[in-house]
Amino acid sequence: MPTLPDSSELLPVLWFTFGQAFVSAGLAVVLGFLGALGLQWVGVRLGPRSSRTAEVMSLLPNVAPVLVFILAMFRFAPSLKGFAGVVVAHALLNVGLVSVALTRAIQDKLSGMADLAWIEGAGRIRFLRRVAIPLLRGEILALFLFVFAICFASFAVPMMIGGTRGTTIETLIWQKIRLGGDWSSAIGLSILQFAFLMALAFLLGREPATPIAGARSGQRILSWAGGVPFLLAPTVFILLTLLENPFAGLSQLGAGSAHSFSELVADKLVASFFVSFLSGSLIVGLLMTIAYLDPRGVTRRLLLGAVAPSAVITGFAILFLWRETGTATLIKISIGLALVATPAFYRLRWDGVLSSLRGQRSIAETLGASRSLIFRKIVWPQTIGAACFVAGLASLWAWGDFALSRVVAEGDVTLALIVQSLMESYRLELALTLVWILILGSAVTFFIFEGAGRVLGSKSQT
Amino acid sequence: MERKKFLRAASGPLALLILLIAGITWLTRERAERKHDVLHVMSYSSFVSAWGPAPELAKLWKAQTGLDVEFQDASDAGLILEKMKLFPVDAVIGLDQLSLDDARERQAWRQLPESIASGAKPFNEFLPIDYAAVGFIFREGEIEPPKSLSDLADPRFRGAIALQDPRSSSPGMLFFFWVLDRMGVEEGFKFLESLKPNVAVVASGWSGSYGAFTKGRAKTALSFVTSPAYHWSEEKDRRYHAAVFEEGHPIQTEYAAIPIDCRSCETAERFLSFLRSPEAQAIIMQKNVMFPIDPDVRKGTVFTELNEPQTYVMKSLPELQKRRAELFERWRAMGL
Repeated sequence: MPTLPDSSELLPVLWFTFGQAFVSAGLAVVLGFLGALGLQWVGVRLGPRSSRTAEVMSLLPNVAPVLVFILAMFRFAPSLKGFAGVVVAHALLNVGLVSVALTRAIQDKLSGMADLAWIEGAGRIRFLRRVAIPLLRGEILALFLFVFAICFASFAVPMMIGGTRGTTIETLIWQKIRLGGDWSSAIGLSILQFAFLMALAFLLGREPATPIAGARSGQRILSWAGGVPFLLAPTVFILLTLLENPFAGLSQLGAGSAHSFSELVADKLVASFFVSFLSGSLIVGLLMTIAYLDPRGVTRRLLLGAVAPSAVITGFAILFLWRETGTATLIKISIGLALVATPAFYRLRWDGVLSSLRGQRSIAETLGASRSLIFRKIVWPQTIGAACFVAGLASLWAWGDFALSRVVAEGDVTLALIVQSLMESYRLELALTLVWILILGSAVTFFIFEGAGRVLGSKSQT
Repeated sequence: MERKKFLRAASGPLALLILLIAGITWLTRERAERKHDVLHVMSYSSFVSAWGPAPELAKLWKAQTGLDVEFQDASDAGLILEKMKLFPVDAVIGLDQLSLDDARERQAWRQLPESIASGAKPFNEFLPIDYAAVGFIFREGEIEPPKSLSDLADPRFRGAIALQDPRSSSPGMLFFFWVLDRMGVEEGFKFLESLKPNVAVVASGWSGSYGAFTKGRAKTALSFVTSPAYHWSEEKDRRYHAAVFEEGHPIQTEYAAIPIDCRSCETAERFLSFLRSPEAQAIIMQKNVMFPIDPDVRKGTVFTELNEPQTYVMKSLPELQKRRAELFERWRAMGL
């Protein structure tokens, strides 16, 4: 029977969790908006290839282990601690993701208007205030909720930067399971977490999205060079930390391992590719199923508020249902990651994409088209590209995940788990060297999904 | 025509997915068939990893007995008791003295035969396999090392100390109880309060705080007094040392045990006995960077050069353990 800890224990934790998540999400959205203007500038001035490279680079904080970012924070802002430190760290960790998602939304929704406004000589600020922000309100709220949910369930950042008061509900869940096997409190807290986010989703509601524009391109009026530092600063911090002592990791190479280094990495590299590819594919499948079913009303609100329970609870639930080990572990991890990521990405982008098709669906329904015909003719061609893009983002996460993977796996089955093990056995420098392979692998997977989205989208439309 | 196009677009990924699932099913079935004659042992991640003792222990065990042992990762040592409910195992490695009462409460364990249990204390279900005192590691030339617990509050350590949170880390919990036992609960919290300006980081686990230390973000870190052995032997870096405190240091002992519902119980007993053999103890010492139970195993290694400080016995530990929830809440509220 789920229970909750005493109010004296719960309330301060709840207050801190909510406060830091709210302010972090707000700051991430503001900085992410500026970053999106920077990303537009890269697209307009340096071309689409540079824009895609900048996109992937800005997502690096979502791939690298969070400890690398925390070490970067200690280096570049050692005095930034406590509540303010947690908020800044969370905002910087998510600014790339927000920028990329907002850029897509800007290109989807504002292309035509922005070009016209530019030709007519409208000012940037005026266009932002009168057109862009009001039209993107739904996306901005969805992004706020997305980052809020991530920060709400954050574990390492609040603890290491926020000090002992930096205790979130996630920390409390971990503590309850770890110290006394108190599953009733852990599940009670997880339900509370779920209810809280659900309530917020209902409270914030969602603006209906406007139709997707035909051509997607960067808009001059919404491009600003000053936004580039906001976009890439967290990535630069991480890269500088990774480059701090570049040869130290190589000196730890192979030392003390029962297997050869190349044997270990090659094996795990394939496993990491498998997990990221399978979890991305499952997400495409889940998102397209949602697109086929087209949830509305309460179902849609429920999906908007849905959030996966803490990694440790999700992990144990998966183990409870399926105990096979070996290759099955990789499938379990992929399924777990897909289940955790799908509600988040539904909030982030998918709901907006589906909302933009409502008009076309209604017309087709009025004309007597069946659900499957509508899916094939209207939904699939216009959404598969976006689904693959979202899957690409999720595959980045999959490369760097060790929270869920560690609970589910029976050993170091992926590269991220090897990195964590190295950190736990004195070999931090070698772990940081391996992070480069994580970054490279995740970029490749992201581009595979993005490319697949383009090919499938254009094939379906011809 | 339209349907054809749609099917053509979807057929590629669909075929790939079917192939993938078929392959996976075949691979996992083969694996499941192979598992029956294997001894299953659960431990925490860094013990099981390629850099930990498990792979070499498995090789040695196979060479000595011809039997296979499969190590299973429980993630954190604190999750062993939870994960073994889902994956019944023949033995576990990684319980520490702070978790023994809890382990006895939540799981029934097999009494070890006298031949193995001679070194088992305080209960004869749990066999100690390695140990080390917790303490503070520093790099020579960076700071004048602390000489006692109270010395940690000295202004010369401003922003220099890396600690671990007792709620999520075993060494962190040992340090927390060490302070409260040595100084008393009230004075202990006053002392921890006075440490605030000196604490650079309180990490959730050992890797976070020790990583901050090795990357130079802190000048001293809570770890084990055996930690310098890694830097001396693997990195050939002799700057790392453990500070020796005049009041002595509490010891963390790691235990192995056999759950009552073991399947290969006799083999598990042989395995525990094997863990105390000099060869296995040498592997555990080198790979886990902890002292072996048998002191002779250290001979000819850097472990003989390490400081082994006087042991600090925590007399009020049972009482502190009982008040754990309340004390943790005070720790949280303190805002260290």
